[in-house]
Amino acid sequence: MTRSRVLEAFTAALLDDDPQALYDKAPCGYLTMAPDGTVVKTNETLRTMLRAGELAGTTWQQLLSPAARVLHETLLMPSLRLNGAVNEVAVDLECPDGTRLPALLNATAERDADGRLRFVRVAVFDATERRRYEQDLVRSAEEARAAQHAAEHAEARLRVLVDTLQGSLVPRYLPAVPGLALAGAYRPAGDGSEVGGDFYDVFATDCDEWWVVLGDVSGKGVDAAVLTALVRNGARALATSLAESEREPALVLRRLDDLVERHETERFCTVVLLRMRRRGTGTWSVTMASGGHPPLLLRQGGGPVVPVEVQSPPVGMGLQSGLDRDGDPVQGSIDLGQGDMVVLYTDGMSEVRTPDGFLGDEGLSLALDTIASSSSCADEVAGRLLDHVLDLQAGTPRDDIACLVLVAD
Amino acid sequence: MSRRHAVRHHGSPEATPLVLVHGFGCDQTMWHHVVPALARDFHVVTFDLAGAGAADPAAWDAQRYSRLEGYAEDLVSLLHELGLRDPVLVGHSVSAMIVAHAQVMAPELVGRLVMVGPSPRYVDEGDYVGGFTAPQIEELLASLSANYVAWSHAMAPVIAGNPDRPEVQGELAEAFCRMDPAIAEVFARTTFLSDARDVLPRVTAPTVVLQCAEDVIAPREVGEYVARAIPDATLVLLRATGHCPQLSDPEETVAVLRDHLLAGGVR
Repeated sequence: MTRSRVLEAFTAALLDDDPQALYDKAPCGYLTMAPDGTVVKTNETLRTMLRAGELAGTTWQQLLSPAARVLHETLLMPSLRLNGAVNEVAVDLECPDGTRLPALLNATAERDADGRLRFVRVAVFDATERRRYEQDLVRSAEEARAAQHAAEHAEARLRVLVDTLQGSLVPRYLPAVPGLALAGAYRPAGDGSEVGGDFYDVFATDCDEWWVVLGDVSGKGVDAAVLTALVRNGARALATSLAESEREPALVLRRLDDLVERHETERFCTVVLLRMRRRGTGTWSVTMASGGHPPLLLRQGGGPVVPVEVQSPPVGMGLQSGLDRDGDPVQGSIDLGQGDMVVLYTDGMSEVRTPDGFLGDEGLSLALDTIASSSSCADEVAGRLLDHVLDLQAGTPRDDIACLVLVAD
Repeated sequence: MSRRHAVRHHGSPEATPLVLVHGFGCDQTMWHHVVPALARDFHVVTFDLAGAGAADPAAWDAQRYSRLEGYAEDLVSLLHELGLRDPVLVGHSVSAMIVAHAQVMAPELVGRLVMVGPSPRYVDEGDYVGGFTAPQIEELLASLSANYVAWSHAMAPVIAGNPDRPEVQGELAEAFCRMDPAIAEVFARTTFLSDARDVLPRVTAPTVVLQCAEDVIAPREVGEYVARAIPDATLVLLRATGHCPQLSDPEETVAVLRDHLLAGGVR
């Protein structure tokens, strides 16, 4: 811009934008009032905003909505008297024609030499659009809060359902079995918000005869839980209803397979079944069958831990019914003397990544070796074995984990 | 309790004790313009109600302070601790009802009451005129929450740099009358929705009711109602306008308090 054009613009502003014009046509409303609210002076912009004629002589309070009058007394005036200024007070002004104008106010106090309030200057900004936007924001925030609240409520309900359901699949307390120390460990995958497919059960079928069942239904969620309940309760019902002579794990496994086959599901299940009979000598005679389940770990006579595999196909895949009808699934047997230990587990315990690859049945077996050589307490062994597996996954299991430790007294 | 409510003492401990209780929207600085003059004749005690000013924020509890009785219980505990002899409780605005509750709860701890701009019920109901309709109060509560910015920033200490009033500079250097907007919202609900009409007839202490001219929050009919409802009450009409005579006309407020409390034979 050349010097002459600057001069020209300056002269024009002097002529057309003198202080009076600046006051009257300012881009915000101006109002001056006495301390009691008597309006002394207003600018044209304010009168246009309020669609009002001369306002001098009326009171500021008359221009305020009832709510705004309370704000005036509790916020605006105390601020002005104590503080000399107040900014961004949101009020509704009442125009003389009865309509409302959402406005933002800034105000300053003019005091005399003694500090007494002489008059108040108010700048008024039309905040119609801003108010609408703020109300939308408040509404959205409230809706978001309500939605979050509902979600939290739903989650809490879900958690109770999951816990209840899970509690019916994994007993909270194991029964006291004379001559056998038992300890169980269970952890659902991730944050535990979904019911898992792992389960176990320990129940008596006779005097000194106990069954131990542990299994893993493929998948998770309510659908899997239905099958889990079927297998767990099916095993119990089958084992207790069979006559003593027929009551063998292999037969129960085969019947379970029939049961699951008839159930409309794509899912299958691995399961290990132990029938444990206590002899008069205090030792245990154990027969066992396994449908596609990882081996059990056995430690006898203080020796090394060995995996024991008795393999038949998993339950529910229709493979067992294809077997020779005369031969039930394979059945194994072991003897447990005093201090001997059996560990049953699901693949959540063994299919765990380690710095060198996978833990596997061998890795778990080695870990148990170390633990069992320093402790033969079932609770402690179960706890330490679980810790070992959780530590490898930074405390959060990727799959459900179930484990049962049995130690003959 | 003293620490929790940022209690301050002014004037001679031998003088008649005067406990000033601030109302909604500010803290004890509300009394700032009258304290120096009152301290010449009285032992003036000021403090911040829970949730206001320098009161311990940890003591705030939305449930407890959704009733005026919550504040009154605090006041009774404070009086108990201070051990003042027949103190005069001066309650401004909503605190007029807080001091009424406190007097009824512990008459032995209170000498007299002064109510500045009292209202036991803001909402009109049947024959009772409170000055506001229920929708107006709802609008007010919404508008108070909408003034988030004003509540949290408006009272920033600009006054600290005011050359006209050097005496207030140091003392007010910290922020004052500032209120957590969430607390302000609860206090506003308690203030504007509570109904303390049934407490008034049970007030046994001599009471002075100060009624401002043109008070839009507590109109004259309400002041008259309060003075009628309390068995031993005197209504004093002030020249001061608005709802805060201690700010709009400190001289008159001090003069009236002196006249009624000193000449009135405070024990």
